[in-house]
Amino acid sequence: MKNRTPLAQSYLDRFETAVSTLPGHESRSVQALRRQGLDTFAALDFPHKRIEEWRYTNLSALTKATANEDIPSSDLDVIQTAALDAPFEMVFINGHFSSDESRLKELPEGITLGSIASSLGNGAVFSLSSEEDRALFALNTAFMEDGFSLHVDDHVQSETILKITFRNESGDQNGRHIRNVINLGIGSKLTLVEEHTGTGSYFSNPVTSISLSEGAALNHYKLQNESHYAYHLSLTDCENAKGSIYQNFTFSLGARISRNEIKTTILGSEAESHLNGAYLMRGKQHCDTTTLTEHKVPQNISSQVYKGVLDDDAHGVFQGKIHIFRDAQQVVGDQLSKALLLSDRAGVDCKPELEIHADDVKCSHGATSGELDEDALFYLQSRGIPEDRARKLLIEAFLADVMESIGDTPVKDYFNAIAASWLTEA
Amino acid sequence: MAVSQETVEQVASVSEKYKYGFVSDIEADMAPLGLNEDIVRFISAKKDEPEWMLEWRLKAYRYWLTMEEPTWANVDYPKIDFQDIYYYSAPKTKVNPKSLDEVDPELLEVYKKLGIPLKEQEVLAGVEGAYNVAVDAVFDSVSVATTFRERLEKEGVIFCPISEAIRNHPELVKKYMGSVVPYTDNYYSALNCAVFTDGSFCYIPKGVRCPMELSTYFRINAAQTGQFERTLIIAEDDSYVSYLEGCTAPMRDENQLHAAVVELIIMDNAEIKYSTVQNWYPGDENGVGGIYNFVTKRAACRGVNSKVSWTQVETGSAITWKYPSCILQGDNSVGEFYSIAITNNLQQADTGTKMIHLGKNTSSTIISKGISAGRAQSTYRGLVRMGKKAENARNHTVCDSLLIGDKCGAHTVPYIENQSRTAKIEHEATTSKVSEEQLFYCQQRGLSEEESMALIVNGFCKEVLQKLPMEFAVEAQKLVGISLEGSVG
Repeated sequence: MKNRTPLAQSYLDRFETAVSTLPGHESRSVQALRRQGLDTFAALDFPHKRIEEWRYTNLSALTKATANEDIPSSDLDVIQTAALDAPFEMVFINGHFSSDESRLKELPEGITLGSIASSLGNGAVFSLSSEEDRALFALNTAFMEDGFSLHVDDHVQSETILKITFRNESGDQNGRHIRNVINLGIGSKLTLVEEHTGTGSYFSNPVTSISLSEGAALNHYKLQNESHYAYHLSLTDCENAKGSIYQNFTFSLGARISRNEIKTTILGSEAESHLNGAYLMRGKQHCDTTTLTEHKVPQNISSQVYKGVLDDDAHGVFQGKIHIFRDAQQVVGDQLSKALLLSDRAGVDCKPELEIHADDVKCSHGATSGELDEDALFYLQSRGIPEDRARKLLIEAFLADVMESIGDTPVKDYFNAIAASWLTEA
Repeated sequence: MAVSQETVEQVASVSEKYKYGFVSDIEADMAPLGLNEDIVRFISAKKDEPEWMLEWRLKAYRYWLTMEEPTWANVDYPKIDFQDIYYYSAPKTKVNPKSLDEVDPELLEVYKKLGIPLKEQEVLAGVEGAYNVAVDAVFDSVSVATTFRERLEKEGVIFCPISEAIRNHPELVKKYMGSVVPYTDNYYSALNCAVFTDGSFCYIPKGVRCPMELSTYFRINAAQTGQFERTLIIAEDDSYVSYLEGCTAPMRDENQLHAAVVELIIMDNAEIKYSTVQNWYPGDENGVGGIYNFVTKRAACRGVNSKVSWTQVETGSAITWKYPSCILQGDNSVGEFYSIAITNNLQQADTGTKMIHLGKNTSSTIISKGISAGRAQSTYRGLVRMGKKAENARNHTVCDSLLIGDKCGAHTVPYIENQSRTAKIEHEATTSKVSEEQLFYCQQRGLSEEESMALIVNGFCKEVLQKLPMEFAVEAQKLVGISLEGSVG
């Protein structure tokens, strides 16, 4: 038998107990699904640097035997100065739905929101493709415990903001294998904010599957503000039908090692997928953003814009791929990654990739990285602005254009306030 | 756009037009088929090599046996049977002739047909062109002639086949060979180290500006052979050389392997300009035959203010797998990479560069143009890495792809790794097709569809073509036309 990582082995060891206690254990199909997930995971183990998609992110700190042991008593605080005023909030504590903490009364008509734990085995249907080669997806399938299931009826266009909060603390070894499902009906519209926070050391492995019907529009925001000792490895899959619009904005500040992997598949014409985000990292943090946009049919649009600020020993990764299938003509795809290095020890790795099999398309990608513009800094200082403030001003300006892409003003204000307090801490 | 019958016929006539595809019937001295330690010894003995060279080859061969064939490139081909290749083939004539008069007239005929000037006086008289170019002609596994050697020796420039350099300048070869591309580097470089047969060796001493362009012309002739050439160019302090490389092969239905290693070493204030027009047989319109071109090329800018520029026009080969790289070690050193890769029919090209910035104030420029037509796949794969000590390093990358037809593919896989705060990296890439408007505009002015296409493609390639030495630029411009003719539609 090949050498497994200690963490993978511990998952394998504890599976038999888990399968008979985790939600849906009464259902044979759920059990079979979990087993299938476990088998796939067992064959793959945790991703390592020899896998092309993981060449820049090393998980050995997580998967070694001593992980989670050296948790310091004084926790680094997550930035929590501002608050988002959302009328509805669903709260998960340590991976479990908490109805006490949630505010879900009188949800607008046509929106159904429930917990996966209560519907696994009776309603929620999952499947695992036999070609699934993402180990973390398989692991999540084997051990998924809870998560939200959101359904919006056809033509329901809600203006309110729905917030889902995941609060974690260090504790058991199981990890938080959250599974979320989002379905938007024909012509419906919704704004969703996900917030991930916590204290101590833990491993969070959320998987979110999104399906947008014809003409549906989802504004999907995510604030990754996990504890600086946590591991946050998330996967989001989105399928776009004709005329649907998916807008994702991920704002990452937390976690020791984080990865935000988004795959969007465009299956209908005139559909749009816009993946944007910003990451602010310091200390020894590592933040990986990996996107894959697949254009399977003609006439649609996609874009990705990610901006990162890296201080101290922080490390940023951006891997973005646009894949245009044969005959997917008249597609427009744009990609941009910009990173700002504030320290001599910070680093960034970038891999903006295009795979194009159709000739009538317009695709571009750009990537830059560097330090603050000395001339601009000098200009501001010569106008009497102290260096410290001038720096902050320039970083804010650097982030501004991607922050401007946030369409919902309350969310934009919220994220900007968090960015401002991150900068004050510098 | 509907394709007229005329166009179809033209396509057919044009795609058969690989004008270097003739086979010359020259009796050859071959090694036994296959590969084993005895073959390595055989090659080494044939070349009359010293013991240390053989040891090195054997070390490389044993290491190669432990390696696995790489599969990461975006190319698709049947597994190569390394035991079904002749690793040595030399024309059965006098090698290392004292003068050109001793060279087999049949060989001279071959080069005449290819348009390569092997006769010094002809070049001097300006018959073949006004430029003086010293040529090293490599035919299968051996160098058959090297021109202008005396003239170059006067300046202290050594330009000779590498097998000769191993015998006559062992101190230089020992010091530099394998120092840029070690035999452990990759699968094909390890293979090359074990079985390389010939190639060129250039040494430009301190302060010398090489009086003429140096050039090596590679020709694969014998069937079922592999060509494993090795080139080593050393530019000492304050020297300059411009080196050209050309390659062709006959049309054959089976694939042939060409795995070369090129090492450049550039010291303080020196500069090497390396240009390649790669025109190996690309296979026919159904993808039958053609050369597998798996090449490792790397330059080490060891000195301060050193400069290297790679310019390549890749039109041939069934499969190209090639990443001319620059290690920018010396402070203020400069690396440049200009590339046009044109793929048609079923050709596949996975090419690009690596710019490794180690020294302060180093800068690099990458301009890559990929053109795909027919059912071809072309990939740009490049790495830009800024080391921790690469203060104020700069990189600017532009890689554009042009697609002609809806069955081809263009891919871009850049790797950008920055560990230096003060380094600046800019990368941009676009993919588009030849716009109908541009075509219409040209046709409206009386150009035919094909002429318009050639004009637009040439315009797209201009930035790179301008970097080529004059006589190559003209040739390359023609090549751009040939490879794409008949692609409209």
